[in-house]
Amino acid sequence: MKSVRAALDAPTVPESMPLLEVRDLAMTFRGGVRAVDGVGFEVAQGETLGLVGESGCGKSTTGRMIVRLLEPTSGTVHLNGQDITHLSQRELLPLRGTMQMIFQDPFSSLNPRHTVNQIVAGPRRVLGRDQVIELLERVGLAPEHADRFPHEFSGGQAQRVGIARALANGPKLIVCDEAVSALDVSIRAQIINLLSDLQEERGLAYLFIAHDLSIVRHVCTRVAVMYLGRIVEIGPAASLYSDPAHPYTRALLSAVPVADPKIEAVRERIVLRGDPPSPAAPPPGCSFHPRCALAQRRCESEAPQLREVRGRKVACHYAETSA
Amino acid sequence: MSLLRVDDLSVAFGRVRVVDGVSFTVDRGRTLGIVGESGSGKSVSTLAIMGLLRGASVTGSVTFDGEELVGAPEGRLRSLRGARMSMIFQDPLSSLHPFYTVGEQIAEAYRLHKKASRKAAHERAVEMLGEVGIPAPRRRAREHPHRFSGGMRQRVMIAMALACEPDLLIADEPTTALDVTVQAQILELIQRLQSEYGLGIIMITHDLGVVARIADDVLVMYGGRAAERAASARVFDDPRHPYTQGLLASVPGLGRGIEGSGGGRLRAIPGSPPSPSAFPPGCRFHPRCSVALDICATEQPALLGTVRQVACHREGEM
Repeated sequence: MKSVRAALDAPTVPESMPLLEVRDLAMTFRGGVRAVDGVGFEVAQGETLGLVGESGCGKSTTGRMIVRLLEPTSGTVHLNGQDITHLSQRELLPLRGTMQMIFQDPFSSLNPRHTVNQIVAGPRRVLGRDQVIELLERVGLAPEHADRFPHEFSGGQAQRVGIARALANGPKLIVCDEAVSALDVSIRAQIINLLSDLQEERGLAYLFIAHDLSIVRHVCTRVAVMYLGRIVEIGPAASLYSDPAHPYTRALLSAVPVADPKIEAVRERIVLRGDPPSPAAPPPGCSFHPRCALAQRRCESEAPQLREVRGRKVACHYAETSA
Repeated sequence: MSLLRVDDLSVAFGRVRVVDGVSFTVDRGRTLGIVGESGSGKSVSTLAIMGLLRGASVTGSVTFDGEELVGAPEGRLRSLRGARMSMIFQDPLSSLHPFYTVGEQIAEAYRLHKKASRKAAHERAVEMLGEVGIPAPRRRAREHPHRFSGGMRQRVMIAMALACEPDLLIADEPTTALDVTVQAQILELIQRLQSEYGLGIIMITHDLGVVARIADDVLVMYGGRAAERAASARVFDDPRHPYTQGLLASVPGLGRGIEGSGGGRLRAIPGSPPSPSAFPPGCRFHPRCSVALDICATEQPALLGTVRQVACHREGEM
């Protein structure tokens, strides 16, 4: 999904302005749980930014704040240069077409009482039946599927319906929240190919939230790694994967099993001790320090800020020494 | 003699035959990875081995350490389950009782099978919790499951499964619900315990990476049947069944490690896995197969070969 061409052809946004700009975004839930704590990044038109991390790191909450299913506690979200952070639902309506979301479980995100035609056309019937059918065919479904209900579909087909619905208003940005995680391996590859073709055709930008690191490597131009509500490393996918600078990124990548016994037999693995701490009680200083092999006294008290290291941004006091 | 020998195992629920003539063996100290997608029959086969399928008709033969289990009396199966063969599942929380402490739950099976005293069983539970890497096991044994994280609960399940020192462990997607760093811990733990206890392991998973990491032998299932069966290195190096080939090609970055998986199109298999109530005739993979012949639509291919077995009409010519 790296359609550089599509990005260059797209005339609507000047090159200097990112399609999506997120600054210092934070979400504190009732009870004081800081699920997201000062996250910032940009997504350019036509690119795919991967947002990875383990359960509870705040990646889904970040996605939900961007499409404004949640209102951020602080920070800003700019879409096409417009501040949408605190817009009312009514004010958001005209922007809903520009920004869409695809969810992990297609069944729970499709209304079971609506036909596919109703789902894709939307509550305000922005599309006619012909346009719905055209979209269904584009995502690999048949015209007769328009009159069926979600329960008549397999998981892969239902996810295609979810994609058709997201495309209905000609979006520029789609937030994919674990969009392929629940699918069988062979179906997953089909959906990834579909998302990448659509990106090429329509100049779409994706924020690709996922825990599967090999898929993220495959689809993303840039990747942000989150740990306990913060970005610990963000940069180009190729260099981040080949030369991770944050100790957490290194551990995470080394933990992913690779489908090749020869590589598995000789790979060096960093097995982290313990579980990720709870966002309700984050450790002081660098929140990764209790599990970090490189941690020094400084890490226990002083939270590292993101700074430039080897062509990307890393939040670690000792990112240079760890290479 | 193999620890477990499964011959021509079939499982039917009413008229729907979800597993159809599957055979494999598991030796002590070795791991068999069973791979397949939804509806492939991988979980049902192992539930049948354990005798946990009430209401299903199970045929064929399952020999465990020389003893036939298909048709064995329920009482006999009950004395084997948990003592000599154990199982762990994807979701530990649904297999743990919320009312009892984890120590009580581990001790219960031990008391039952080993006729141990309450005190000895409790000591064994504490010992096992320590063995699976739970810090402060004596204190943690008195806590309830909800006090444990997902990874820790899976450790508790493993402690419970291994308390009676079984010979065979069946692990059904044990790390699927866990984060990758926790998955790495659990896989490492399973491998360590295998070498300590000489366990035979069946690892059921959809994750080819997990299979590559821990399996010695691989059985690829599709539509309730075995598609391919061989040593793990062979299957990954030189997959012969078109389904195995497609499955491996669906995974990004194959053969280049995680660093090398950038961009390009994946070679996806068209269509979706068939549901057991509507398996196609002939080779069940033929509607999705790019090299299918006419014969594939009508005749079921036999699983042929010695060091490597493949069920494909085109095996040998490709």
